[in-house]
Amino acid sequence: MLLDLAEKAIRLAMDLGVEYVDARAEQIHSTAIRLTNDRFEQAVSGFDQGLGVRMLYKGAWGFSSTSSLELKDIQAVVKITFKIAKATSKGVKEKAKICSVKPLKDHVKVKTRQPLTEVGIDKKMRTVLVFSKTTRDYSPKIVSANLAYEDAVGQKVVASSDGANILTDIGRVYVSVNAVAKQAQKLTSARERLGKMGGFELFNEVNGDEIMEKAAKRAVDLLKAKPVPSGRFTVIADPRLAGVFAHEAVGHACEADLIIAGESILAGKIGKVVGSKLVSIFDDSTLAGGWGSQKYDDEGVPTKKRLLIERGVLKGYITNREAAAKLKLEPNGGARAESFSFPPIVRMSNTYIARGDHSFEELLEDITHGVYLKATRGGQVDTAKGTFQFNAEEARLIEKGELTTPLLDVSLSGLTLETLHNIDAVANDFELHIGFCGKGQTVPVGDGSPHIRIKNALVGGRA
Amino acid sequence: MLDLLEYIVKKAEKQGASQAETYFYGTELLRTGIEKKQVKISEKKYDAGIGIRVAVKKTDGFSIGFSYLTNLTKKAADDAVKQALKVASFKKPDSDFKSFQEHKPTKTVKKIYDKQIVKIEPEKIVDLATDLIKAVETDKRITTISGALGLGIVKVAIANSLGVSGEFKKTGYGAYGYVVAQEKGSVGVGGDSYTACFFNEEKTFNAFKKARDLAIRQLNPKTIKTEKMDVLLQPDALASLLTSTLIPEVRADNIQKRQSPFVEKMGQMVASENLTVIDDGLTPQAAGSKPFDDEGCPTQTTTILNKGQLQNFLYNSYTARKDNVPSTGNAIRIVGGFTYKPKYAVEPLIGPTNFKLCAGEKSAQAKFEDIVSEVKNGVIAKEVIGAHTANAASGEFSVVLDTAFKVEKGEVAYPVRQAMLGGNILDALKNVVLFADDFKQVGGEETVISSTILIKNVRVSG
Repeated sequence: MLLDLAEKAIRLAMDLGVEYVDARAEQIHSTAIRLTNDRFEQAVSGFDQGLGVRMLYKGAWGFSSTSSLELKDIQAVVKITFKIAKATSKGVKEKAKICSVKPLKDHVKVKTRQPLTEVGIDKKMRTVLVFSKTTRDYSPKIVSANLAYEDAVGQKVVASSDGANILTDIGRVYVSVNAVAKQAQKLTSARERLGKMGGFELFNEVNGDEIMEKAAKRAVDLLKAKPVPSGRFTVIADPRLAGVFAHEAVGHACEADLIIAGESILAGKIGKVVGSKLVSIFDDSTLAGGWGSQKYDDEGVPTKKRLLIERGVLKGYITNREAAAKLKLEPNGGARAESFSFPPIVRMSNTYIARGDHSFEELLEDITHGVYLKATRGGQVDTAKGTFQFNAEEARLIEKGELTTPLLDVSLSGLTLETLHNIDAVANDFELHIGFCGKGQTVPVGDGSPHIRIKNALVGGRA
Repeated sequence: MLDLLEYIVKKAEKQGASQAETYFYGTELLRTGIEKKQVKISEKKYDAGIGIRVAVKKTDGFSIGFSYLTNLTKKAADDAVKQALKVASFKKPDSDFKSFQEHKPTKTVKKIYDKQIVKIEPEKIVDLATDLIKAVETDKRITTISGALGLGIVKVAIANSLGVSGEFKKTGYGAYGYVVAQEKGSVGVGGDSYTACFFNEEKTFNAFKKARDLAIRQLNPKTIKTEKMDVLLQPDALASLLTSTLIPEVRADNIQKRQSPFVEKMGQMVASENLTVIDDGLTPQAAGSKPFDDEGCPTQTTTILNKGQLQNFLYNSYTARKDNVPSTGNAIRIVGGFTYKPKYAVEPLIGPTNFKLCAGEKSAQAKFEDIVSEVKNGVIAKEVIGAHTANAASGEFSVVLDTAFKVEKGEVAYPVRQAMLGGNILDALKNVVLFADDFKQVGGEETVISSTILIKNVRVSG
């Protein structure tokens, strides 16, 4: 039914004389639960559906969406999209074009042993409640546990006037915990996440209680941590923080729409050295089990494993059809939209730094005075200037090759290119974590990395 | 709309709810995006839905259930009522819940609905965007002009079993300009925004021109030494920082959960006597203004810090009844987190309306230029990066000062390449000395209104 409606919208738009049109329709059941200290602040199951239409008319884009799938509302949304595309075309100087791709038809299924639709909200609530108890029972110092559960199950379709026609089953489940510990006047917190593309079997496959205890333990351990001195240090970033660096500082700067917009320091640098020879970075939508994986993007283009940086040399960007045409690059399936109510834009999938050949101990042993940064509450980047800031959830001082005093509320900031050059060792371990990326729209992504060592990095603290 | 809402309340009561509450939220949004010195895309979105809360009496208290619908028919509403009652049946009773919001008369809020916005055609916005690009493209060093113009019309209605029954319309306008300038390998970036309930061309031009001026002034930055100095935080920087620190810390739910440094600090001096903080839901033209909050409680003016003394927290009806005080009209249906949820799909929590910072004493207020001229060694930051990584429970933060300029001997000396400011928001607020006269509102439903503030003698890392 979704396919029929999308194709109906496309036919209606083509009758109006547009150059290109795509339509995306969705029907999604979702559950959201938030629990703080055993009280449900949110517990809701809902059903959302809708259709979004995007048109290219005289080189200008128009987009609009409706949460009704009634034929009359689809007719109306096509008319409005045409109207605003036409209005926009009056302000366009250089006409947007899209590259041609082979139109594909497919139905992508999601593997699941326990479909989310077969699990009631009561069972989901009980699961979250157990996780909350586990976190709080870890220690009397845990004063608060904030749990969030989200899932989504349903179908989405993308169809285009070129003949692409992709139906994708959706199944996604996610839990996060934020454990807060307190001693005297000191408050600390630590976060953990688990999730998978699939169904409720996640909670049989992964020991959720262990993950809750991990968050609780870190929060309690942080009570002993001291404020960090600010200044420049040699730092080791753990896989979580380094993965966020790969995503924030490098991945965003490789988004081809930002390259075209003149908002990236990596514009015009393909084939040039942008970092240390030890650094190779990929963005891979095809990674099995990746939180950001998908077979086709939201323009119906098959996705790829994209090589961004190979041994310090910039090799490629993440593209959508428009950017590929403009930059004369291959389309590599990088267009994603949060939902039917957003137009697809260039996004990352699973971004990671490739493994090196040192052990973690080897990274440590050369450091006389440095900081080991672990995990993160997130970060922010300015791709045009090439600056970034990340917070580390916990840290340790490194003295004469040994991990010593625990530190808290540490952040790392720097210039992307300088930092890429200052990576002087990459470990042979590796972890891939789940994350979410915001760029006006939020999409699930994976961030990965081994431990990396960075010379002369700016560490900010409050001591 | 109120007819359907009242139908749902009656239906829920008939099906076993002791109390019911329904909330309608509908939006119509138009947005035009500018990219690389040209108009790129226009978008139009419609969305509407109804959220339903039910309170079911059990032997030891009430259980609350929630559900929502986007297909606004009586049949879909009947199903949603059943779903909400089902969720309530799964929940343990909450002994702290006493009742939904009782009816209280609301005050009129001026200038939150712009009749002009409703009539603006997409062509007008595209023409404005084209004119903005022309007005800003005045220097060869400018390589990028990006941004967006957005118009919104919002309709809200609410009804519950306690006689709350009201509706209002509101408009919103937002403009954001982002400019990149390049000169001999140096990159300068500037951004500025304008937000209000009313459309305003002149202020839009001013924002884009300011973005341009900042981008050019940011060219050829220098690094600075790590040392203690004066910091001038401008309204955008403050809004980012407070949204992740002070604002969650004065929410009554976080106090009750003991996730705030303000626990057991009521009545104490927690900030400089130069600082007064007010939450005001009645400010004309401000994006956070509305006649009643998302539970139907009239909005008001609440003094949170009076000359540095902690006087009030932000309450919704649930947390207010728990503390046995009246709600401050700060119920809001916005949840943080990763998946965007429309307001009708969210149960009310707590948030600010217009969170205003102002001088505690007249003597703490000065002209922006006069404040700068008194600074011997300092830095001005228009924005901060990374505020969302702050630890709201403790108030610790570490941010990058962005679009920053060094101040030496009373004059703006040069742009700063990279600098970090770390500390605890409580310490920072104790060192607030002066307020400038450049008031600006930043944000949407949850707005921060402030001028530039001078914080004395804090450590900045270069």
